[in-house]
Amino acid sequence: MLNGYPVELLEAIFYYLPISDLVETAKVNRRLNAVIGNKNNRSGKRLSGKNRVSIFVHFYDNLYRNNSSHGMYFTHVAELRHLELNDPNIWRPKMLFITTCCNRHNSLTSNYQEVLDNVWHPITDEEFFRLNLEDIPNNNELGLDGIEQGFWSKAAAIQRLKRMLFYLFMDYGVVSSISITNITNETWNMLCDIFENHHMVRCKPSINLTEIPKDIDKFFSSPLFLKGWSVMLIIYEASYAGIDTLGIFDSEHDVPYYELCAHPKVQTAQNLQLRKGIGITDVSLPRLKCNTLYAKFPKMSKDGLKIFLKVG
Amino acid sequence: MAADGDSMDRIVKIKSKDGQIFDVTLGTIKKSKLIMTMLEQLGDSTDAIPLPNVDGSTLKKVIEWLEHHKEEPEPAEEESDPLRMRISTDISEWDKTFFDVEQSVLQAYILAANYLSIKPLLDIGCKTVANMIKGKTTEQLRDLFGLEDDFTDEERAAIKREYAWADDEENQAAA
Repeated sequence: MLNGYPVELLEAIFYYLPISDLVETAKVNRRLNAVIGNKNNRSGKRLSGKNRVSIFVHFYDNLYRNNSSHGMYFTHVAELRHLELNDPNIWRPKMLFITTCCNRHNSLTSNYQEVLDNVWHPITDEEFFRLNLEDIPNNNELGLDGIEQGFWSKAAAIQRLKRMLFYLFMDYGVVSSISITNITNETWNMLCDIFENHHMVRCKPSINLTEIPKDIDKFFSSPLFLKGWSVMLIIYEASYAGIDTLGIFDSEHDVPYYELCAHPKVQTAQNLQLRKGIGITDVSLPRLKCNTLYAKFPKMSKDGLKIFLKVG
Repeated sequence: MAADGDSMDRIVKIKSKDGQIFDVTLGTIKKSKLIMTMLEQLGDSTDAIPLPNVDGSTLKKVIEWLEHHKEEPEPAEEESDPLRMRISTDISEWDKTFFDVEQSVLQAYILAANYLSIKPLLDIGCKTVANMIKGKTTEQLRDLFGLEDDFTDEERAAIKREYAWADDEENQAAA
């Protein structure tokens, strides 16, 4: 029925679509192609960049969060980098998000964003994503290959990060892969609404968690995982999950670990990698219906492994 | 036009394309900029306002929607945060049920909202269609919306070249 809408209404509908969905819609038929491909239309302008990217987001944990006696200092809380897949010769700078070391200082300073803006000059998304690495003046003195932006709180920094992710998906290009690493529960709680609100991810993400999600069902129901996972790494190192491969590594949390592994979504993993697989037992392991197991030190007997291999 | 309580109780007659006449209060119909403009032009006339682009069954449902949302205030100012402006999933359960209809009916609602200039109804309708599109492949979209691949072989080859930059084998395999 899309053919029955006038152009201005099609444009109003396409306004909510990420670029990857615009591309799929443009290939449906002549009329939709004519509307979306017209560079005079808003959708046509969005496609005109012809960008295809990989996105990398890395979070940092504040080391002194629980130490009440320290003075305020600024530290990295996250970084965002993207690679231009259609032109690997282009190197883009990364964005480094900087904030106060912990929430103890927020109440004193949160009204003074302009103070930070004098140190770390604000830049719009459009300006930032046009920059090449060589455009960054003398940042290498600090060992940086990117631009820093300062915020008074982790929440404000992650809000800006979300806006940049949104821009990448909605206005910049097709996102072929996204990797998000070093996620704590606190970080996930601040980040996850962008995926729930916009349903913009079509690729299988790579995820590295540093904590077991508090609500595993809710975590797995995120639209970020609509297509499954490319890689799911839990605690320190990676593996692969479909989830195509799931990597579960050393953890002191026996019970939640077990719950994660026993989750129906995890049981669809094609490959499973275990290292010091605490919580994976003779009883639980056979329930994981994956095709390949990489196990270094799973807590199970040889009999358990035999049972698993029969099932797998 | 004044927007005090008394005037909001005033009955307005509107007439659909197929001649059905509906009595609605001004408080219900006020979200339609078209009707409010026509009322200003008509002054005190009690004649039914003709709406030649909306059939009776659609107009009845639009009135139902307006009635349900009549207490909701107009947004104070345009949203400027792009994260909020372009959310397509912020549709209430009532509205989801309202728009859970055949595509031809959904289209009639959206076209009516556009003609009557009822922006909130139009926005929800557009979001509903956008949510139907999201995450689907070209072929799935053709199936969903009953659309033919009407490209010639030459055009199809040109489309493939034009969008080669967006191709991602892994994504296509996953879909």
